[in-house]
Amino acid sequence: MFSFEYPFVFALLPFAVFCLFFCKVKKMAIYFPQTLLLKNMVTVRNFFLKLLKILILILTIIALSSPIKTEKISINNAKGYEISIILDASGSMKRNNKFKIVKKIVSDFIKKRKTDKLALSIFADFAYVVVPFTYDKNSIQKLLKNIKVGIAGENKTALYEALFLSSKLYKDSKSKEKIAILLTDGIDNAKSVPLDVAIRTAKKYKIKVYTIGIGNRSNFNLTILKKIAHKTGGKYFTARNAKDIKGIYNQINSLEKSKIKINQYLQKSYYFQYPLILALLLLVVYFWRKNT
Amino acid sequence: MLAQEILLKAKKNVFTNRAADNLSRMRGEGMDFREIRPYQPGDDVRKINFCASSKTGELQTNVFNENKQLNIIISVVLLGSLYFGSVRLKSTLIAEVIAHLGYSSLQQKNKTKVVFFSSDLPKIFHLNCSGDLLKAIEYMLEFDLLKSCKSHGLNDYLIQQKKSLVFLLSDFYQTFDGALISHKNQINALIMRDKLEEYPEFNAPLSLINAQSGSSTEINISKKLAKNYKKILEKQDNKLYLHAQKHKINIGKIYTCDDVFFKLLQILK
Repeated sequence: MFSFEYPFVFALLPFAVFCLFFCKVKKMAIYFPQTLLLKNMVTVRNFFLKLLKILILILTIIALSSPIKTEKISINNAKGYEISIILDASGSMKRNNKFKIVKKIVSDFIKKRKTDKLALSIFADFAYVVVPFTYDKNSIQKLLKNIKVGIAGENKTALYEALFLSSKLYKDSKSKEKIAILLTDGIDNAKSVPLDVAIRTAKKYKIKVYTIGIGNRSNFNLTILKKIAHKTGGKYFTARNAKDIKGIYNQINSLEKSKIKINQYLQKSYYFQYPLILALLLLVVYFWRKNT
Repeated sequence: MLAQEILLKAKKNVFTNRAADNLSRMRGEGMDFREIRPYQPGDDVRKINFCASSKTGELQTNVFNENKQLNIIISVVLLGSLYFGSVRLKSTLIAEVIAHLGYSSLQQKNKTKVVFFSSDLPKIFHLNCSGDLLKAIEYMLEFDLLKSCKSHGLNDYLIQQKKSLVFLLSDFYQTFDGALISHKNQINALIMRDKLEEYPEFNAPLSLINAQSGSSTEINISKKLAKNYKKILEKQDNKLYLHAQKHKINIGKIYTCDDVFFKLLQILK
């Protein structure tokens, strides 16, 4: 629904129009012989400038009143996951177009999780959280689109750090079922966080970690991935191709769902920037016309 | 004080640059001796030169050049638009022109008068001495131009006068028709202007007050607007020059930054 966040700002409109005509700045006055001729010459220009002034005022007031589009998103007693997706974006993912395939599958997965809260983290030389837990799937999709191999470096794989960091996202979570899906095709060589610490943190927040090893077994450390899954109550999967990964995601779909406390929330999209940009452009035109 | 200064300056200019009096080559009544010739019937017996007659044994008479006296009218159109000037006010410039023309005319003993045309009846100053000229200059300087929104009676007045040499002083923003008056008189139209009023590039938002009507207009006169305004004024002035040429009116422009004496010499030579 389209509305204004601060509609009372419109009360300024009659005041502003009144001021435009009656609160004029006192300018230096001189006697001039041919004012009528000059006045006739600038009649059209003055009308145009006045029109611009009024438009700028109206647009600024519209921007100030903050036009918004509110979308009600209802989750009526829905049972949903809190899923943290951890993607490997190291240099090795470039090979065989792995990263693109993974991204496409993850994107499809996100589309399906309409009532779930999702988070996205990536890791390479270091790990970072791209999006913390949110219902806003559009934002996750947009950010996922922009992620490329090498965005966090290309030489190392900070696998444990990524697990540790994404586990921390569950700090304030009240969900019963917490899941992390960790995709990798490599071995941790960043050594920024010890494995034990990462597993302990995941266990502390009761996160089930589903580890997925992509590609040949020689590429990733099977034992460690298994260990992570086993210790956190999750499962380990191997995916040699896109079909395998899809299958794994389908398996995750069949897991038990937990109740999410928030049943309904409002998604606000702000549109104040459009009238504001237009007002600024008109202001530039105004000053240009005024001084030429 | 200013009127006296203006008059003194005019006196100095006219006196130091005076070349000759206004002499006529026509024979007639005068003091300027021309020749001695034999008496002819009809000649004035009072002009018989008896010394020359006794020498020649025949009646001889003195012949003189006619004393030529011009009728000069300095006409000033008083309007609010004269209340403007960047170097000096246009009204002050007119006062200086009156001083120069009036004093040089007095020097040549011409029958001179200064006539001011405003919304009231024409005010006439007959110039018999420099004191009268001073009064005319003072009147010009003290006249409240902002109260004069219209000027009338110029054509009617000049038509009623004897054949005269007329100096017409104005900024010529009003429509001017010199067809009738130029037929009878020798007209010299002097346009009084200021450079800033012809190219008003103020480059600042100003409130321009019309000196005639008192109405104000808020305008930011940019370079472009000033150029367009100048073009329109030039067109108007060209029309005026063509009209003057058609009716054999001598026309010239004097700016507030000009030296009045030399500019007058250029225009009236």
